[in-house]
Amino acid sequence: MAVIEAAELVKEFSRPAVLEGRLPRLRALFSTKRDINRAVNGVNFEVEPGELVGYLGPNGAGKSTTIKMLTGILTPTSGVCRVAGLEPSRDRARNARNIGVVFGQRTQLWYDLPLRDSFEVLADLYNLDRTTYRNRVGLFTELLDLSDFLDTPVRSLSLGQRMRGDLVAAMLHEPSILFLDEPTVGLDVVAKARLTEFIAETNRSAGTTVVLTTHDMEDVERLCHRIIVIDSGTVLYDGDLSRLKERFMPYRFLVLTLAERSIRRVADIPFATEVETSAVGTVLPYPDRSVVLRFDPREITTPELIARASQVYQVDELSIVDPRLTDVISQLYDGLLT
Amino acid sequence: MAEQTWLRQYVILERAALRAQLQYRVNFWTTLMGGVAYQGTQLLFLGVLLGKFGLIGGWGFSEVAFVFAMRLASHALYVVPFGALMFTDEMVRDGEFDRVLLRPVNPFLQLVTRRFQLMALGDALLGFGALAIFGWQAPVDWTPAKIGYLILAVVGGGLVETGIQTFFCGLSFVATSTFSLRIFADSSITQFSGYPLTMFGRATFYAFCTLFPMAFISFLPATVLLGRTSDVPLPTWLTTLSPLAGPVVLALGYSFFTKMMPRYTSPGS
Repeated sequence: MAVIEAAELVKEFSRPAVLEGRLPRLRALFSTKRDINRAVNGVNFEVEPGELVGYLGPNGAGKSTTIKMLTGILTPTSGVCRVAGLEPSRDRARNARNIGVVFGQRTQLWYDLPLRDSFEVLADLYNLDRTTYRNRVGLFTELLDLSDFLDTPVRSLSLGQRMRGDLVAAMLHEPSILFLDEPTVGLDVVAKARLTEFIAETNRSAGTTVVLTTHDMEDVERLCHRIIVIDSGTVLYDGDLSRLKERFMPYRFLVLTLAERSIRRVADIPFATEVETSAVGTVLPYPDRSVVLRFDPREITTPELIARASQVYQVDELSIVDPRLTDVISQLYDGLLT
Repeated sequence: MAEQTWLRQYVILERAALRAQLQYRVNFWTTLMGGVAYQGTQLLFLGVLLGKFGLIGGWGFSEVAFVFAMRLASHALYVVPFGALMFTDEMVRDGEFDRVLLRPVNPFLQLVTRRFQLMALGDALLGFGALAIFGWQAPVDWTPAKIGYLILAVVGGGLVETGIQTFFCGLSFVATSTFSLRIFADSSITQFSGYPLTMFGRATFYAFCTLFPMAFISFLPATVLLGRTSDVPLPTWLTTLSPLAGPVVLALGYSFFTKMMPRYTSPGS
């Protein structure tokens, strides 16, 4: 049984229409015309218990709007969503007990109080008994290394510290479902790694269902098996991360670093195309001595290509590089692959 | 995880709000004094006015002062527990209301505990002080029944003001900025409701009983206690029931609030 369901989910926002012609702003004060914007336009998906799903899309695609409907913040215009059998907008308070939510852009902690106080208030609100509370805070403090700033007011925390605090606040009541909306936005590499590791561990050991939105493809590659990609309020892709790459970017790159005295020439190797070195996405150590060949493993095997390439070039070093998820996704956003 | 009572949740959240306010000591003392000073000037102004003219709308100093004191006490009963409602409009506009909806606690309860209203303690000090003094001096033969009626009237008045403010909170989900309306309501209540409202003429008086029901805050029940119901163009039985307007106005305001809440648009991502 799916733990999260969205069926033909639609959310429209309306705002006073922008008028044209003479004195538009003045006339707008008396106008009843409204512009309607469909932020989410018939979204369908299901998430099984224990899944860790990446919910991706460019800015303004409707990601946050979907999350806000699933968490009970927004009421759908039409369609249905269900979270653990409840309709979040109708059964808001009960739904709130089943889920934990973190918005990277906005804290849910008490701004003026020490972090620990926020935890205690939440524990009281969720009616946790003292032993459970102490055990959980103890565990989180260890896993996320909170001990240095537990007694610091939230307003004085760094972004990384605050995000860790927010994550704990969202998980104190042991929710079976976690919604994380850009939890790693603005974090440095170390803080990000710690957070993603914690999320992966929570999903693995406690079987917590996680829905994660992010722009960070590293997060996605590290955490998600399944991704849902939306744009302009509709689902473009829903499925395995590896299959997405196979389907939309079936090729790989062979990167050759040529020997100093080797003469660069235009090679004609069957089933391989020479492409710009920038296509690989990583910085090559000797760009002026590098040749990048794109090939489809279904047409030519990697050893065969290497053999052929060594006949043409005098090769110092070589490596095989897979296409980056970012490129796959950005092509998907651009509508090149639909 | 059993459900808690509203009262328990209120205590938890209000305690956190108070702790947050106590983090700033200077602010604590200055706002406390500010509350007394702000409402105190109103009372002084009244004193000057009556000292000059003696009567307002046929009412003497001790009577008007009594109405005014009831108004202040009622206001305290709104502003101490519910005063944080004034931040709703801001929370709805900048999306902070999101977090209210993410917690398994009644949203209204979370709004009123958004911040502890320190200044309100000044209001309360002044309000109940004035009520004790001017109640003593008012031409009323106090009996236990009349004291009981006074308590109901003051509580009812507080609820009327709460109901009006709750209505504006509901409005903020659709109108986004209701600041000027709320200030208008707040200052109208401050300016008018401490006076004999019949002095503004019949039409205005009826408006004060219906559209903008501030007559119930102190004036109507005060006429009952002062034996001046004949001044009021309403049947005496209706005037006598005026403390009941509190729960009625609050219920109307609250149901409007819950009806409008699903229209919250959660700005920002």
